[in-house]
Amino acid sequence: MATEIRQASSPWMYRRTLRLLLNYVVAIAIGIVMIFPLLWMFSGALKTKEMLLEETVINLIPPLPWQWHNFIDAWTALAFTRFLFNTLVITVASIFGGLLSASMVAFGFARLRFVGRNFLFFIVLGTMMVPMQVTAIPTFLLFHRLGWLNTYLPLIVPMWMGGGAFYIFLLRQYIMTIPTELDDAAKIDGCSPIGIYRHVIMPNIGPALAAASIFLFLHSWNDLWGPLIYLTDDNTWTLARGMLTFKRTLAEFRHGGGLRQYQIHWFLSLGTMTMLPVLFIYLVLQRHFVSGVVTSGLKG
Amino acid sequence: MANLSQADSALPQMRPGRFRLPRGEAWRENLYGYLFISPWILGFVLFLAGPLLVSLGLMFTEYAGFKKITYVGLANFEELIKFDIRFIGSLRVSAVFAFWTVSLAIIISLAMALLLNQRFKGHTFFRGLFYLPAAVSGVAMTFVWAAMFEKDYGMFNQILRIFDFDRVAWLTSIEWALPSYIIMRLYGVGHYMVIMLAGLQSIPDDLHEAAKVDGASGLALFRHITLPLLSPTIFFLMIVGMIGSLQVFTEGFMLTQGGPARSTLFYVLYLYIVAFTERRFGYASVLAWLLFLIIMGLTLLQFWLARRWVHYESQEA
Repeated sequence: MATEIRQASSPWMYRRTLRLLLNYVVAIAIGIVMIFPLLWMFSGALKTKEMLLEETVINLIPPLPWQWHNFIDAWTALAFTRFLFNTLVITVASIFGGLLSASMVAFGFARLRFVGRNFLFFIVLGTMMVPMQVTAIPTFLLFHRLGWLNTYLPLIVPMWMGGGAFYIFLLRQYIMTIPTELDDAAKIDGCSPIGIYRHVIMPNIGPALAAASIFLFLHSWNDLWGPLIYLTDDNTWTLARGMLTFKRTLAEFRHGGGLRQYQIHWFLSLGTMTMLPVLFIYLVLQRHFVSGVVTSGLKG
Repeated sequence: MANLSQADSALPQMRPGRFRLPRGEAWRENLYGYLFISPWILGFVLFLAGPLLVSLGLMFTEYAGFKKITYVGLANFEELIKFDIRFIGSLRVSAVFAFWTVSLAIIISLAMALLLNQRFKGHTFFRGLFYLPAAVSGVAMTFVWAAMFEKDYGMFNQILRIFDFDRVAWLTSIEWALPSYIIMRLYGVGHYMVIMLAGLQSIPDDLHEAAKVDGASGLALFRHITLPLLSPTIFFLMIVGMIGSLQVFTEGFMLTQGGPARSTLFYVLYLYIVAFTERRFGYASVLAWLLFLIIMGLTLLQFWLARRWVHYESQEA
């Protein structure tokens, strides 16, 4: 009621409109800052190097002719098709194993009663504090002993063992929101815990699985540390590992007079290509993306 | 925290002193319980507890990954404290980086969250847009940063050129290299914003309404209601942000590898170099354990503060 009266008085309405306008101006300004580097990348990927050097205004619509061959040139400069294949194998296997094992473990902690459950879950939470750099050296030595270096295994197998405390926590939180009456009904129908997990829990935790798979995907897609340590043979390299070498060697051509010049348009076309899957997933699954961040953000 | 106490109450039958081995139905449930968490137990032993113990032992050795392993006592610790300039330098770089990134990110994300919390038409679109850089940050984006900071062709120098400023040698000059990383990191401020926004939305509206009725101005509302109630979120972001900035690796390794003149030698970057370039596993373990202790300290601080705040709020109510 109070608001209606206020809206009727004109100075207040004037202020309100002004404020709304200001909101939009600021929001659009921030939006431009956020989107500009990406637009610069997309447009630069279709320009020649000379255009980037000489243009006096930044043309977000690249001048004709568009240099589509930048994409092919950059992609074929190293064996990126091979790297993409390796990355896909590792990513798919990690997502699958991570979802399967983390949901099993989460179900165990959320629904089953066993001796030491609280203590073990406390340990699960505690492991989130351990930076992976602490375990990196012994883990490396272990994989070295096993003869797993230069295979996909060091990057996949750990994900099949719960996939990390974060995923277990995320899924457990979600499972706990599912009413236990469903479990009880299934139990009366003669379901074992395995049956409950398969027929009651799994079909009902879709959103949490979606959020977890996004993070699992991003982890495998962007991981540089793991491939750097475990993969020395370039047949097994992932995209991230390949891009590192691309950055260090091929993007710096030696021109006449020994000048080092960046093939900057290649950077942009390769960056565009490797970012597109991430961008696509973000645009399609934005809701799960943000909810996952918020859940993880509130994990403390 | 809340989750742990929930789990506590779910187990009323296990009182201390009356512990008996479970039988029958309970035994079956125990079996299933351990069956379901067995992947985690296996992973915990193989990839966490085991390695943690091994690296604890490695701290007292010199080891390059071959057969020969030498016990050196406390020599690694002595080196860390007395002789290692790179270690001191990397700690400084990481601290400066963490301080600027986290404090600036919190201020900016707070402003952005306050803006979006006005719920004007299209605020969800803007939220999606502001979060976009955080979503696409990763190895591809790092690659693009390399291009953007490039001296001749890069976006930043293009912009400077348009406005007739002198170009800046972003990643290749001692004074600008670290600030470049801070800019890079701040581009992903949407991550902070999303959490800040969740914190803002958890503040009950009636508090603001009540204060408005009492005639509080916008600034007073912010100062006396929003900020105090948001402080747990802010401190959470501070701690998590610091932990995150301490672990910067990919960007550093891809772009500058510590240079120029070690001005961007982040702690984890240095750790990687000692471990896997110089192959000094013993000394690297000392560095790794120090990182672990710092992160554990920050996490415990967060837990302690969170508990104090919960207490404080319940007293108020």
